[in-house]
Amino acid sequence: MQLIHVTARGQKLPVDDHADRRSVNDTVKSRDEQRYSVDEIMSIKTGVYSDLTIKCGKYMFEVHKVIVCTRSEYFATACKPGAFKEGQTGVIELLAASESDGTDEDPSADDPEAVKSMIEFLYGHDYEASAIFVDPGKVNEGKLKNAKPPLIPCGDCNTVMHAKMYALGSKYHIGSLKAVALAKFMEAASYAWNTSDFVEAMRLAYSTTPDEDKGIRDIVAQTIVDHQDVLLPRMEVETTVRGISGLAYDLLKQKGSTKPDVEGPSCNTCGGAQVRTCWHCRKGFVGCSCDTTHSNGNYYCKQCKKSHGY
Amino acid sequence: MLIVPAGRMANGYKKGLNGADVDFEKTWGILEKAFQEIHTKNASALSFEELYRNAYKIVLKKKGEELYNKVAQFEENWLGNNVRTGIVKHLTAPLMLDGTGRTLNTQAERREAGEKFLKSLKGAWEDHQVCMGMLTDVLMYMDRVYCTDHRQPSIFAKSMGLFRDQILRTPVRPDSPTLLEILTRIILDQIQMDRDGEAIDQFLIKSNVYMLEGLYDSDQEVEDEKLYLRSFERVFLQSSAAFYREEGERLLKESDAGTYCRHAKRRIDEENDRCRSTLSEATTPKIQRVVEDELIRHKMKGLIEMETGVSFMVENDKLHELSLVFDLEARVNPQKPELTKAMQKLIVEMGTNINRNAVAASQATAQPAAAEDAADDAPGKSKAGSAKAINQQTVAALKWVEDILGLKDRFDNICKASFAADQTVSTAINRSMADIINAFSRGSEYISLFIDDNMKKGIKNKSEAEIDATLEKAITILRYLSDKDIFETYYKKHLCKRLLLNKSHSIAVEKQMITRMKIELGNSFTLKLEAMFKDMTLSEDLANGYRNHVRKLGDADPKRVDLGINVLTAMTWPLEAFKSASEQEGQESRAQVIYPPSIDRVRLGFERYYSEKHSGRKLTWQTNMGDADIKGTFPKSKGDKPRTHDMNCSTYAMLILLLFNDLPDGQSISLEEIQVRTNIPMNDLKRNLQSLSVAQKTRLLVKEPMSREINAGDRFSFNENFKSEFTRFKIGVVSAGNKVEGDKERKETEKKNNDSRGFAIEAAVVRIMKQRKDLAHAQLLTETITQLSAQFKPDVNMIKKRIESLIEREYLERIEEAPVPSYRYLA
Repeated sequence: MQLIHVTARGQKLPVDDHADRRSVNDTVKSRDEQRYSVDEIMSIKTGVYSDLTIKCGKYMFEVHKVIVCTRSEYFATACKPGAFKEGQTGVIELLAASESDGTDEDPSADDPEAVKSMIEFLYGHDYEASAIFVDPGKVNEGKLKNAKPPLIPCGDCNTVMHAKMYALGSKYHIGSLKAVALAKFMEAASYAWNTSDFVEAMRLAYSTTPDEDKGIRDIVAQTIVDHQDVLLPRMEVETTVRGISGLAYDLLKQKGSTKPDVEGPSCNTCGGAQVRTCWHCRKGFVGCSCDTTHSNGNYYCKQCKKSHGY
Repeated sequence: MLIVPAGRMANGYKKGLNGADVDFEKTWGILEKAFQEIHTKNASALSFEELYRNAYKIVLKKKGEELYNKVAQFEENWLGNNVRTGIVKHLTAPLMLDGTGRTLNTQAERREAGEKFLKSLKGAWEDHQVCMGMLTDVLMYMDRVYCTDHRQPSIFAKSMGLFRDQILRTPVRPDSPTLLEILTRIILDQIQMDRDGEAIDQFLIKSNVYMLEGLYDSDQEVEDEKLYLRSFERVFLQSSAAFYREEGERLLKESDAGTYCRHAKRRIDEENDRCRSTLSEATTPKIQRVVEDELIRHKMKGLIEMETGVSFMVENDKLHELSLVFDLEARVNPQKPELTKAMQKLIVEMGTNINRNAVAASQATAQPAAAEDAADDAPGKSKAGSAKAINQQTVAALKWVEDILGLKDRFDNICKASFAADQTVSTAINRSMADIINAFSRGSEYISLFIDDNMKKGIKNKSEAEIDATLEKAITILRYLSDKDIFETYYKKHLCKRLLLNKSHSIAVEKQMITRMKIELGNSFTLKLEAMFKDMTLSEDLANGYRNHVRKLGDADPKRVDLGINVLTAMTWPLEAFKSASEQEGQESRAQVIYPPSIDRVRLGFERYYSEKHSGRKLTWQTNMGDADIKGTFPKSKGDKPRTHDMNCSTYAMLILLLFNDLPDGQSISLEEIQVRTNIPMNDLKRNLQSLSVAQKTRLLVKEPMSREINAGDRFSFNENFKSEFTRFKIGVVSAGNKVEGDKERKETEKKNNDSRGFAIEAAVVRIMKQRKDLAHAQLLTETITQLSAQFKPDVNMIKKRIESLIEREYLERIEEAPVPSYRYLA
């Protein structure tokens, strides 16, 4: 059995741009260490009492049917005794996408890293994607140029991984994973919209979900519309948008329903987003008018919210 | 394109797009092969992950519809080509119909062939279920994404529809029935075998029923359009109805009602069990309804009217069979109308019989009873004869009461033992009992007579519990009686005689009876009866007081006549009861009887004593009701020794005898003379003389000429030779005791009763009007009837007449301008 360790491909070391803020990497690392100890308690690594093996690429997960099958209809079906091979052998081998990041990959194959996160999610109800550095200068381009105070990218900003997680949630029938991935994708997209990763995420979102699954598609379209002044002129964006059937119509529709004068990224729900200053750490963050988690007109950013009891 | 990543993406995408068509065929190939394996039960080597992933890929590439159609096509082919032929193979000769729609083969052959067919169909269905379950697993993503979004039935539902169309709905060969029809027929055939008592494989049929329950009439899968309901159940119910209709008719003709009931019950239970074990639970209420319809609802009337039906059962006390009939009818209708009707009819029939017997008995004696009036003077035998006849009539009355009670007891018992004391039936029985009791015009009189008889003789030597039971019986019947006022009249009359003549066996029991009536009929009913008892008690005190008073006067005259007296309130006592039937209205104004001085002294003495105690009260002496104890000395009886006899006789007889005290020996007095000297009404005089001079044992007087009748001009003298072996005896006067009224008496009672009813109605009307001031006619009628219903059922015409009379007397007036006829009360 292989040990799980976290090295998302293409991960860049974040640059420490604020003295009073710990590096993103540090945060991630310390969280990882902490998380794995929890995982050990859950026996995910040691495989104690496990009765099902899920293989994907280089990884092999010794898991427990009682956890996995109750949360995913896919695994429940696969483990049905007396039907298919998996039911008898107790081994499910998921086809892994080729290691080389070639693009002719089978859309039905899975990224082993994503599968790992998925299993983590099945056990822990949350997953962590590896963080990606985003240039603050690029974030505050276009409309956001005049945002006061300027938006500081935070979180993992890993739109690609979140899109993949969303797809897995759909493929393996894990509804809660979809919801969590969608929220994470939304946050990541609000900072990492101006990257080539986002373009890749855009493509993934449209190719790994069915047409009727609007969740992630709406966020993609909304983000493009919000930043059309910067994004649309870019060649890679154009090629991708042209290549994806259905995206053009979604964009048009989104554009029609978006209020044109909104500055900066906007809320997916109410469309009316604005940059606010956190009452606690005095930094700018994206909030919206449907955000009800404030009292006395004091707004807190995501990090500070928890310490203020929201 | 200088930007590498962009180009990379464009290429990648294009490749995916171009490859789609090629991919589809290839991927479908993999799936199809796997499906084939699944259908041939060879799936254990297949990887779910691979199949799922391939299906997922196809759907992701927006080829969901093609995939769906391909799978459907695949299933259709599979079912049509492989499965159907396998089943048709089992359609052997015994299962096919010949030209006339019947098979020529024996039952055993049919059963065996049928079971084979059912087995093969069951197998095919179960295989199909399992395989489609696996296919559904593999195609989960397609179901989730494509079918849901395009409102297509899931692939599982679709394949079930295919099974229905390909296997069940396709004719075996052209011009022959479909498998579904054959299946239905075979199952029905097997069920018929089951009904005939042959063992069948219930589980096998149940499996096939499961199949029909799992399939729907259309692809919409509407819940109440299951194939089972649509095709099988309907035919099943129809054929069952026909079967049970025929069986019911046959049984009604061939067997008796008890057997029929048992059979019907067994059939219902059987069908219930059959639904549970062989068919579907959902059919239970429906088939039950069919069996109930055919064996019970439509046959109930016939069953009850059978020769061995309900009346036979009642007559022969077949309580168990009756309970079976009851159970059956209760099953189909909680009101149990047929049984209730039958029971009511029986009660009315039997009750009418009792009534008719009573009438016949009374009419048989009516001749002599009527003759009594004409031959009133005839002494001796004819008198005894008519007395006997009257007795017979009394016996008839007692018999009627006993019969009615017996009838009630009998039906109460049936109701309790067989009908689980059912409310509806017992109510109906009670209503019928009331009908027959009230249909008998002499009911009130007879009931009162019954009580009278019991009070006088019946309760002698009986334990308290038995007395209680007797009283309860009387009350039971009384409860049904509607004309309670007539009863009251009779009861008063009878009670009066019992009290005055000291005939009642136990005053305690009398009072107990009154208490019961009070509970049952209300306070006002017993008011007058209680007043009678009160009078009796008061009189006793009064007599004692008077006796003390006399003693205190000092002159202890041994010859003084002792006086016992009952002072009765004139209103409460029906004194006319003592008037003999022959007494004429003309003599109503009673001439005061002339008393001899010794008696008159006592009378005056008491009157004085009484008026001292109660001033302003007038005493009227009812001499005709009294009796006297006298001591007579007969010098010439039995040798020369004079004998003394203690005699009890009526007051009149005493007065007559006193006349002879002063008479010298050998002298005689004529009838007319006696009449003049005593002023006793002629009729009473004649009767008393009859018992004194004609009756053998109490011939104290000698009549001249000697004949049975007392005629004008007859002369009487003291019979010195009177002999009797008793020292004490009673000189009876004809007519004492209570008996059935003669026609004339009855007419009188009726008239009286009508009068009192008239007053009661007038009182009620005035009461109501006084309260309401204005009231419509119809409302007044209903209110009057309600108010009076406790006493009797008023006649509407009578009420109208009373209202007229009240208007004439200006208690009421008509309201002229009212839209409906109304009255106003005039204060």
